[in-house]
Amino acid sequence: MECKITSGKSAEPRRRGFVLSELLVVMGVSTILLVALAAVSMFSGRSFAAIFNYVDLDDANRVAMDQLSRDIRQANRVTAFSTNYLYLEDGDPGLSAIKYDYSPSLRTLTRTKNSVSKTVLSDCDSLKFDVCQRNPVGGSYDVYPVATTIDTAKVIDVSWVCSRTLFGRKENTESVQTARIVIRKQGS
Amino acid sequence: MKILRTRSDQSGNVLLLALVGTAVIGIMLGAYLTLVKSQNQGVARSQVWNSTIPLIEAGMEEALTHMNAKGATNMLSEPGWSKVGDKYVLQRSVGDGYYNVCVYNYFPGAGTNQTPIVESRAFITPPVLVASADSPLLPVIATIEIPHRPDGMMGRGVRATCGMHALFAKGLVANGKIDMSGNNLSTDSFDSLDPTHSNTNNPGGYDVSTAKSNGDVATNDTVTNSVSIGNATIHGSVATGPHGTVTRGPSGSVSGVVTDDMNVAFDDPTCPFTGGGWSTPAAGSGYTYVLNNNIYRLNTLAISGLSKILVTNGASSIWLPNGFSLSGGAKIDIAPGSSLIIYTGGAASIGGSGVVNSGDAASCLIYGLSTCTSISLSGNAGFTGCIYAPRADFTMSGGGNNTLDFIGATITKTVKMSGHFNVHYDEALRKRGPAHGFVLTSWNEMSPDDVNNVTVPN
Repeated sequence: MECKITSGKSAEPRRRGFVLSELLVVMGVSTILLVALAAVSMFSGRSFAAIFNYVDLDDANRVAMDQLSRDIRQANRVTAFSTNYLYLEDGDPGLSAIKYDYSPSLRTLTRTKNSVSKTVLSDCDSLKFDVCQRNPVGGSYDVYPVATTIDTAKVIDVSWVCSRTLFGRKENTESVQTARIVIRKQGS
Repeated sequence: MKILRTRSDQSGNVLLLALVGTAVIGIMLGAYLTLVKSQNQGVARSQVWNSTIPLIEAGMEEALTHMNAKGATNMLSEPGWSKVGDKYVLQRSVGDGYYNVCVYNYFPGAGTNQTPIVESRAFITPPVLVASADSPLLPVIATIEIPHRPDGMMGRGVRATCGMHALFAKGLVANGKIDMSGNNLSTDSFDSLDPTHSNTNNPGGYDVSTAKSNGDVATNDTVTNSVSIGNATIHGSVATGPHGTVTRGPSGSVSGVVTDDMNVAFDDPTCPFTGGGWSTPAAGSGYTYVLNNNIYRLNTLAISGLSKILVTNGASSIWLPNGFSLSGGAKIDIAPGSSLIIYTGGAASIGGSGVVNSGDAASCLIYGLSTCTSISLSGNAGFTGCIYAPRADFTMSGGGNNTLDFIGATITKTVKMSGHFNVHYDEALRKRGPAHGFVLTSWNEMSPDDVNNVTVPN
């Protein structure tokens, strides 16, 4: 017996092109998805770069602060100072000089000892040394008079602000709180 | 019957996309976590690193305090201290850590003319943020891989050299006002232990040609005109307390610097033998009293005319609860090689021929006890010695038409110089004079190897 299927359905599906409305919907949805994806990618990338920036900046700041603190603590005395430089006489047997110079134009803090210079801090927007005397101000707590000469310099306040640019914009500006470091040497 | 099926080979792409997407997200997440972990470690390390400093300083303070008190004669006098080899060691727990302090190059009882070395190490357990470093759980985000000792603690140490802090570190020192209103006043310094800065013909003596410029004047006073130099010549520096000022006349001069950071506490001296053991001095041939290498007590000492006191055969001390006075031609003779310490509880008036001291300034010390409120130097002879009387007003009015030498140093409540005096501060007092105790003369952080080379107490 031979069967003949008389329905209109063909074994091979018939292919049709998109109608215009379908095409527009697909394009619209695709565009939204692509934009969303791009936005997420950019945000993530920017966020990642910013976090990396912060971590790197924070590490650099910490290393610089450790170095500066150690040098000041074990110094014999201050030999010269201003708001943007601090010169110390080291406590080593040779009484070598240690110089910290801040360059506003280069945005760097440089340490020089035995004629060897090293940039200990970069991307530094501002840095300030305040040098104070040993004696606290009467009737106050933790307030020290400003030293006007190196002969009375004992307490060093230092503060700086660092920042970096990311895609042309300043990101993750880090303001380091003032560190107060006291020269430990007492006698001669 | 033949059944035709539709092919659906696009589903593999979805799986691939999902895998790629997951991988990308995973990598990004891993990178974030690694970065955060790194930051976390950095902060934790920094916290521990900086928190070691207070512990190090606590160890240093304890060692210095002990050396300046009971440890001056016996370092093992307090619990916790032990001797390991030639080192005195103490270890004390504080909070999450401990400090280990050891003192060497120090010989208790040998005086303050030493340079002990103090090493203070602090060890602190780093904070465990989520899990320990050995934990198998979440090793990426949890571990703190801070370099530390095998016991898991972070260490840091400081090696400090100590030196004697001399009591008489400057020439003229006062708690209050210093008034140099006399004529022909000057200050300078010399070093009786240095032949190049003392008198070659009179070894250890003063010689103007070899004098130095460390005749410092200092006061704790914080008011206007804390120091009135007048027309005096100061071969040295002048220091006042915070906001104190210095005035000078038309001929007054200061060769050094003028600072306002003087801030020193002067404790009342005490007589070490008030509990007994003293003798009453006896008279000798041609002398009212002879002090013969012993400790003495007299209620009152007032000699005048040609009366004399001889100090001989070594070191003598005398306690005078009601003060003393020398007038007329009276004098105290300190024989070569002998020394005298006077503890005066009342006013002291040094007139007449004064104290004749053929030795150095450290051979004659006058301590004004808390009840001594006045010391005057009004004779017509010079004075070689030191005066420590933080509650006494000190006046120097002698000299007449001559200019007298005051060789040594003073620490008093106030100073008024109305006579003719040249003050010559003996820098040797920093080495062989009385001491305040040990202070730090250097502060150096140790290398990691040195930090780990701990001397463990017994």
